[in-house]
Amino acid sequence: MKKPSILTSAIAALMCAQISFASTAAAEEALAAPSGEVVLTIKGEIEKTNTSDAAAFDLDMIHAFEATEYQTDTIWTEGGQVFKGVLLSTLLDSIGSDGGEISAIAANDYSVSIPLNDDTFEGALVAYELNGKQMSRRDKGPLWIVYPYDSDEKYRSETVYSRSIWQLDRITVQ
Amino acid sequence: MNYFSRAGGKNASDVKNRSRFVFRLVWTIILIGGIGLVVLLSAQLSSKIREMREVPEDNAQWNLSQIEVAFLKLRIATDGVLLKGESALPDFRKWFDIHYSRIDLVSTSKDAVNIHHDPDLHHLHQMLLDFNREMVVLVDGPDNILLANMPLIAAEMDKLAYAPRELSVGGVELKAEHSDTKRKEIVQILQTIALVSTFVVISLILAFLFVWLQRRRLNVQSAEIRKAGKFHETTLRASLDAIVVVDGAGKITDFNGSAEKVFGLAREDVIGQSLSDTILPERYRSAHEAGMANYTSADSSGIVDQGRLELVAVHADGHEFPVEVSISEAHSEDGRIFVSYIRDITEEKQIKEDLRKARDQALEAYQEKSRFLAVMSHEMRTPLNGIISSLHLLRDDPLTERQERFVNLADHSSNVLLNHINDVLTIERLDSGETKSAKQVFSVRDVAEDLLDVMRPLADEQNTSLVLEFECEDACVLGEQRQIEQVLTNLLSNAIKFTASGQVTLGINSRWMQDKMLELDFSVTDTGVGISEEDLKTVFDDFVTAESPYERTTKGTGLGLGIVRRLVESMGGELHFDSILGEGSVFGFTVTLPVQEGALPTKEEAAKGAQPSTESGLKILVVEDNPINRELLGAMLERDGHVVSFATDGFEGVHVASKNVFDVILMDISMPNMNGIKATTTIKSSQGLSRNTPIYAVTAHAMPAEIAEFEKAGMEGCLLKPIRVEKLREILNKISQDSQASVPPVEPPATKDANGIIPLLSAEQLMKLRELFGPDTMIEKVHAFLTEGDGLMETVSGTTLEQDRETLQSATHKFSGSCAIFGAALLRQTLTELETACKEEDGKAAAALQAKALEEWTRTRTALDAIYT
Repeated sequence: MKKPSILTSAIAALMCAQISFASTAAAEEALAAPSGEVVLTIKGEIEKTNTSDAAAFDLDMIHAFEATEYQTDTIWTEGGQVFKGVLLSTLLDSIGSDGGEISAIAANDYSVSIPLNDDTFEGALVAYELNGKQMSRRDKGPLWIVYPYDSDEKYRSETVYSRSIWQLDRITVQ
Repeated sequence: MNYFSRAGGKNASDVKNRSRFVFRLVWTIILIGGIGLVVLLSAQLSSKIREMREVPEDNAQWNLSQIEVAFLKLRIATDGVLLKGESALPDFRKWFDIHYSRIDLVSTSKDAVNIHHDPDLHHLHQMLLDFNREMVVLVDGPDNILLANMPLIAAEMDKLAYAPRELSVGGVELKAEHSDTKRKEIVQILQTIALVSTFVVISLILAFLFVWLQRRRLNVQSAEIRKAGKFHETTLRASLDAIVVVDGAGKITDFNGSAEKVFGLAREDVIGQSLSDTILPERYRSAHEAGMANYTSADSSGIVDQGRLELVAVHADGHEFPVEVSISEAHSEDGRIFVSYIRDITEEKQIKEDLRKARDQALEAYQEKSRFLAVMSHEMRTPLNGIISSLHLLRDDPLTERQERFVNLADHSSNVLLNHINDVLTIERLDSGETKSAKQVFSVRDVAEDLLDVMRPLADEQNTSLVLEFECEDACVLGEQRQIEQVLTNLLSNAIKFTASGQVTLGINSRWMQDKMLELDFSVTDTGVGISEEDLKTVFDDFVTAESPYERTTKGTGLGLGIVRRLVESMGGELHFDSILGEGSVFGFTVTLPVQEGALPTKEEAAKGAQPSTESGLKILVVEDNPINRELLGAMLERDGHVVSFATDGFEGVHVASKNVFDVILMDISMPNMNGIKATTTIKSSQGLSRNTPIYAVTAHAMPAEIAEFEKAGMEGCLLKPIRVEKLREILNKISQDSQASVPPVEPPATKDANGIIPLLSAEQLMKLRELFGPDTMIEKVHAFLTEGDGLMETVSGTTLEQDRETLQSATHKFSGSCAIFGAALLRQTLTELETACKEEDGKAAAALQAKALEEWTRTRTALDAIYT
């Protein structure tokens, strides 16, 4: 992930000002700017941004959300795993997303659509720890959308597997 | 209403039921097994499907292809670093991490397990893992060293570039292979399921069919049972006979429509009622109930299954009527039942009674006719007797030729008339059934020769020769000689009548049968005109006549062969006949007679009878009321040199007989004042001088019953009017011989046994008597004797010699005779002695003998009474 250039920063600031202006009354708490390396950028139909057109999160910001843990097996790993992360819904709510669907994009530009109104959405977790350890990029990290596969059959479908995107770094809300 | 038990077949149906049960059990088990199998397979299938869904196959393929993508991206990133230097390093590091994670994923991922089963793919993956492990030190190391090594990395990657490519391609193949296996497995399961399901479905269909068929059969059966039930019911209802069904306790369980009519009772009222209380007359009820209570089986009851019985039943209105009942026993589910078929036979009985009356009336009418004929014969034969006798007497006087011709004509005509009357009377006698003419021992040859001699003059007139072909056992037989003679006479005279200038042959053949019986076959063959086939059929019927071209006089009565037929039948013989028109006829008969051994009167002796006695004439009394007949008979007798006395009626006859001793008395039967029978008994029982004289009846009364009556009255025999001189001479000759041989026949002394002791009863005599009468008549006769004996004994014991010698002697004589007949030997001896005492007028001896006789009579009476009761 490259650091935002001066130009983009400037544009982002301008945009932010505009949006701040437009939604002063609505947004009580403005989204803080990331201090560390940005691991996730959310664009599209969102209310809060901290760059010109996107909400950028570093790991600390993500850690700040209420954490959820899943203990489950996956088809990609051997043995039971413990995932810790933030629910996708919590994350999207925090930036006031107003869409029906998101596009989740990985570092290798793999992308997948996740509808926000189907019954598997509630299980979608943006995991950042596996078995108590932060996930490196070589280890499908740093962010991996996982589901509680063991808990319900509905999470053991091809669709859900395809939505279990790892090395997640971008989201577009539509 | 199944009255009939379904005996047998129980074991067979048991076996059938058991095998059916086993069959059903096995079927059920198979069905359940099949369904279980389907369930099991379905579970297996669904788990396979779930597996397929949860472990997506193409994921592995995707992952492998992504390795290639990541590898190429890393290579491009390498080039970027080589071109741009340090600024491109983060991008390189990112793609290295992605590449690293991709290779790593194949190590851990579940869907990638199959890759490691393929040694080539495993090796390729291992090469990439090694590459990662080598590179990771550089990538994680300082930038400058990484930069310096970048050309090396690029070269290394180029060398390794084929590995991700082949891994990707291999993945496709692997996936295809894997999919095939999976598909095959599923197809196999599906096929098995389909197979098992098909089997189960077929089984179910079969089961359904079976159940359906069973149900249909059941329906048909129950329909049949209903039909049979209806049929039975209809039969019951439609039967003309009353049908009453009773259970083992005697309660009525069924009562059909006819029964309602016959007994006048309604079905609803009698069902459940006791049979004895409803249709049995009161007097039979207790017997019926006792019978029902003791009933064990049809055989012992005497009523059930015994065929038709005639019983009495009672109608609802109380009147009793005769019924014909047939009761049979049957077994139903409720136990023993009795089915009675009952028919009201009141009408039948009435009809039978009417028929019986009609028959009796017919018989009476027939007897009336017989009586009429008997009277007629008498009325006709008496005047005829006068004519014939007059003609015979007239001939003795000198006549002119012309007169002689007329006398002959008149004689011939009256003989024909006499024959007709005789024919009719013979038929009448034969039909009355009283044909028992006395059996005699006779020689077949003598009879035949005599007959031919008699017939020869007749044959000579026709210029016909008469031949005897005697091919018979020359024996003497016991039989009805008179009847055989008559049959042959009729046959011969017929044959001669129809044969002119020809030959008539009497053929006699014989054949031995068992027990000294001889079957005699007589046949009369002629060469006459013959009889047409048509006429042959009726030739033996009465009043059938045929025209004879040779007969000079009027036709016959047509009764000749009718008499023959009757006579032969009465002897148990058989007729045979045949004829060809124009060639001649054969008429004959066979009769089986017992052969008798022993002497017979020779022909010569018998021949003498026809001649008048040349020795001194007999003293004869003729008792006859008709003056003409009296005169004629007298003339005949006097002509033969006899001394004749006359009496005009019974009284006079008795009187004359008592005063004179006659050699013979000829007694007319029908006379005024005292008839012949009465006169005979009076003479016989009197002390008159002619009391032992033989008396002959002279009468036109020819009925056998009357002849028996004559014999009973003590008559020796009977001369039928009109009197034939030959017959008269025969009898008189016999009498004169007897009187010469022994003047008064001495009664044989009572037989003594070996010890000289006379037995109370002569067993021999009683046996003879019993043979003569037969057992039934014997009892009757003995009882008559006992009654008679009681009467005579009273006279014998109650009359002293001094009081009335004659009465005592007469009664003693009579009693003695009876005792001789009934074998009372001891008593007879005593009575004979008593009779002698009477004659000698020895009163003392008589008294002692009277007492002895009374004592012996008591013993005799007790003994006879004991034997013949």
